[in-house]
This record gives sequence, structure tokens and C-alpha cells, in this order.
Amino acid sequence: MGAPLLRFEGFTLELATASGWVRVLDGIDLAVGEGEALALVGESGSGKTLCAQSVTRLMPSGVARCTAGSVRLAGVDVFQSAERMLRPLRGGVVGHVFQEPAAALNPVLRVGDQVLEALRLHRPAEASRAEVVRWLARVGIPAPEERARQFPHELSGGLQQRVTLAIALAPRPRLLVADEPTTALDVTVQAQVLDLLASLRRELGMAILLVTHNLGVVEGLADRVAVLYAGQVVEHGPARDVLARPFHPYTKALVESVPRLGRSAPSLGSLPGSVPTPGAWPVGCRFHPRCPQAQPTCAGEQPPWLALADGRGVRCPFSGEEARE
Amino acid sequence: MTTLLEVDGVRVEYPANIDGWGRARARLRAVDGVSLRVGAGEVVGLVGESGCGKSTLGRVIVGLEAPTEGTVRFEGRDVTGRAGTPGLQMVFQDPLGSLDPRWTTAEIVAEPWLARGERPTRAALRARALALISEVGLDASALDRFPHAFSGGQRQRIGIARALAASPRLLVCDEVVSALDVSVQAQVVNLLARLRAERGLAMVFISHDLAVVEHVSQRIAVMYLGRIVEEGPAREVCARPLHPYTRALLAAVPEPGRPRSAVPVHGEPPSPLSPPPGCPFHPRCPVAMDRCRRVPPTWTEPAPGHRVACHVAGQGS
Repeated sequence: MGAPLLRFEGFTLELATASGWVRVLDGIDLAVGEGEALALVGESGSGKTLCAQSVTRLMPSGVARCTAGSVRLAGVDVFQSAERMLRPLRGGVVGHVFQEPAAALNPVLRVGDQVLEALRLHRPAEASRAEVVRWLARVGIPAPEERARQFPHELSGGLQQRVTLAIALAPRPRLLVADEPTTALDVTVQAQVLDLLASLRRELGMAILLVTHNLGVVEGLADRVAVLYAGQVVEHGPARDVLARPFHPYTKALVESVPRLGRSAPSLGSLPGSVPTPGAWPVGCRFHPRCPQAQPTCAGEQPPWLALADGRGVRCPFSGEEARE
Repeated sequence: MTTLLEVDGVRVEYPANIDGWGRARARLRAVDGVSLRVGAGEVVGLVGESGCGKSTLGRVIVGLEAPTEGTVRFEGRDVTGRAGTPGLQMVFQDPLGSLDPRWTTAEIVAEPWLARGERPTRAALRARALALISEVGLDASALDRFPHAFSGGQRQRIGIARALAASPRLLVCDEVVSALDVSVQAQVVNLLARLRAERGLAMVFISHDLAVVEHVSQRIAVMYLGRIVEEGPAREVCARPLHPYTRALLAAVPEPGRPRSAVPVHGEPPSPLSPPPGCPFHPRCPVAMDRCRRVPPTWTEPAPGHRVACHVAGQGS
């Protein structure tokens, strides 16, 4: 296999704030191959959305800078390239789906025209009304001919999210970046959209970068999972293995804090405190102030990345030992 | 167990499709004949999807909204449409939207006492505020800070402390953990469980998340399109759901380590502006019969304390 479709290598990102440049991502190493699905999980403020936006440099220039490492997408060094080099990638090679479908759609354009626009930009040869209706039908929208003539506000949240999927997928991207695609949806509609994503992935053979805080949606969709904490990857591996047997104390705590049906625990496993904000990351292991297993050494030096067997890795020396036992 | 809250036949209608002359051309029925009991110290979970009327029902219970029909009785007294009933408090989903940004935590938490006409000294007020915020897991440094200086989980704790200031016997919690990260959600869920145990606090816990609801509630009522369709002991409802909608909700919950079954129901809830005839769930129901399309189902109680409004489930299996 050659170079993967998407590769983060030691990627370090800083954002401009009122008090100067603040580091928000720190040495991210990740790769997504053709047809592969990777999930990024973590709490608010862990940096998972910034990772997803960095794939095509969606943040405005001038407020974000890469200070080390790189993001390479389909052979293009994203943070070394001019805007005009990135434009064909956005929407063409990479499709985006966001959390709030209502915010992602243009409120004054009929939804069919918005799908047509995506086709015109990236697959002009296929840009036709018939193709638009075909895509709306493909993402499971009933009565697609009528729906194509409606405006976004006339559709429910679930249908709106299906429209943004049609817009993202019609140009047949090689990678779909889905940032909390089902978080704003009701649970039965969420199940429908997740199943749709899984079946479209099989059909179209595209890769997926899924960003989510919901560990429950990871397994059904992703092959691998990367857990982010305070701008770093703290654990990485096959989704099923990581969720069934997490090594890092943070991953363990996340998995235990999910309430599960039919489990009558008197209280949920819970982590004290919350994610530190960028610029106020603790010295040493960034998780140590909240870690139930913290040792005195954890406050000293930053733990190195430990590569383990079976494609797993963890940023915690003690978890590494445990995994090798 | 004494009954604390009795909700009887509550119906809430809103004018809809208002024309240029301000006339309503339709009525939207948000809550359609709901009856509910909550015992002292009992937590009743109210689950359902967006638009099912669960939040409207919560607002009716605390009197923020007057029902079109029906009554709400609290501790035996009729409190229908009357806000500010002593002992009845509400905690909202968005703590930032429900806390005054220009007030410090101490002022926010002390307001219920002042509103009740108490005139304690400043020092006494601070001491009581400190005791309250310690109870919800914040420390003294929080007293003089403003809402924006807190994280979402901490703000929700302040919202809970404010509700506790009025010494409630019943707390209506409307999606209080929905906006929080999973680790912080667990902290707040554990806090609510502790408050129930220590204060004997009853709650109506409104949420779309069945796993959270099962965790905090003794009983669960499932709502669909303005009606309760199933009600019973929390463990029972989740382990042996009777209504096809409850089954679909349970099957749709994504959980790590538990493969989700195939799409349980298709489509989305119909608009409450044009509810379907018969059983409101029949257009999406996998087991709907001809009768479901015509006749609204009545309540049956196949197991003690476990009720369901469904023709199919009601027939027994």
C-alpha cells in the first residue's frame, strides 16, 4: 500500500487568541487509508473538531497556523498550499457533514439546487435534475422530486441531515469528514442515519473520518478509533478492542461514564473535573490531575507514545505495562 | 408512599398557522390528555423524542404554562397554571440561558430566599449559599464568580443549587444533562441520585436518553405525539418493553459494546398539527393492524403497575 489518503504527522496547530497564539493540537499522528473509517472521540475541548477542520484547512487563514508537522491529503500538503489548491479538495476529494444541518444549508435556496451546485462544481458532466433526484433518493428521502423543490426550513432535522449527506456525497468524495453528524438528531433518526452512512460507505467505498463524543456510535461505523485529550492522541487502535478493553485511564473513565441499559450500578463511573483549556494544559501527563491512577512521576515528564501489539498504542507508561502483561 | 403530584387529563393546545389578521387557522395539540402520578421521593422519567410534548408537560407541572384542559395537584392542592408553588422547582437544559449573567453565584442561589420575603443578614445569606453550593459539589471560590466563568457542568450545578434553595419536595429536571460531556453528565447524574437519597427529593426527569432515564428513575413514562403510551417500573420498561415504540427507542440507543439492531422504525414522528387517526404511532409501527389505523388504543395493564396503550400489546402474547 502506498501513502494513505490522509496523514497527520506530528501535526501541531496554534490558534490566534486575544492573548496571542495558543497551541490547540500537539503532535497528532494519524492516518486514514482509502475506504477506511477512523473515529476521533473525546470531550468538548479535546481538539477533535479542529482535527477534522484541519483536513481541508477549513478555518480562516490568519487565525490558524501549523507550527510543526503536516497534514497530507491525497498527496497535497494542506498547510503549505495556497487556498486555490485546496478548493478542489473541499467538496471534491473530501465531503463534509456537520452537526447542525440547518446551519450547513443555505436557507434561501431549494435543497435540490444545493445538491445541483455541488455536482456543477465537482462533477459538471453529471450535473442534472435527474441526478439530483437520484441522490436524494439514495440518502433515503421519500418523494425526492417534491422534496428537491422545498426549502431547508420545510424539512425536519433528520431530512435536512440527509440533504447535507447528499450534497457531500454527490461529488463522490474519497473521504467523508463527518463531525458529530447525528448529535442533533433524535435517537431513532440517529439510528437511521448511522445505518445509512454504513451502507453508503460499503456501496461507494469511501473513507470516513468520524468525529463524535458518543462512544456508542463509534463501533457501528468505524474500524479504528483515536481518543483525544487536551490536543493529543492518548489511545489508538481497532474500535472494538479499544472500547472492549481500554488501556488509558482516560479511555477507561470515558467508557465507564456511559450509562447503559439494563445495568443497575448505583452510580456511574465518573471523572472529577473537566478537560483543561488550551493554554492551561498541565505539565507532565495532561490527564494526571484527573487520573485515578496517577503516580508522582506523572506530573514530571510528558509520557511518550507507546506502540503496542495488534495495532494499538497508548500515551501512558503504566497502561503500556498493563497491556503487555 | 404518599402521592406528591397528580396530573390529570392535561391537554395543551397552541394556536398555529396564524394568518395575516392574527387568526389561528389550526390548533396544535402539544399534550393530549396526559395523567401522571409521582410519589414522595420518587423519580419518574419522562422519555420521548423532540416534539413529543415532554417539555411542555414539565412546564405545565411547575405552572409556567396553563393547560387548555386538565388539572395539576401538588400535595393535594390544585396548582394548575400557578407558578411559584412552594416545594415545586424546575431545572432547565441550558444553564447559561437560565442564569442571569450579571449576578454572582451567591446572588443567584440566594434569590429564592429573598423572593420569599426573608431578610437575613449578609453574613447569614453567604453562609447558607456556601452550604448549598457545597452540597452540589462547588467550593467557596464559586460564590463571587459570574456564570460565564464556569464550565457547563458547573453551571448546571449552580442551576440545581438555586432550585434547592427553595427547599423543594419535587424537582422537574428538563434535559439537564443533555448538553454535557459524558464524563460531566455522569457527575451530574450521580449528584441527582445523591440528592434524592439524602433529601428524599422526588423528581420528574425529562430526557430523550433512555439509558440515562433508566439510570436515575424508579418509574418511566414514554411519550409519543403528546400522549403517554407506556408507563411502568424503570427496570421493567427497559427489560420487557410492551409498546412497539418503546422497543424501537431501546433498540436505537447506541451503546459501546452492544451492536445496534437493524433500523427499528422508519420515518419520523408525524406533525402534531395533523396527528394520524387511531393510534398515533401506527404509520411507523412494524406490527400495526387494521384496527390501529381507526381506533385509538385504550390502557391495559398486562403486568402489575406496567401499563400500555397499544392494541397489539394489550391483547397479550
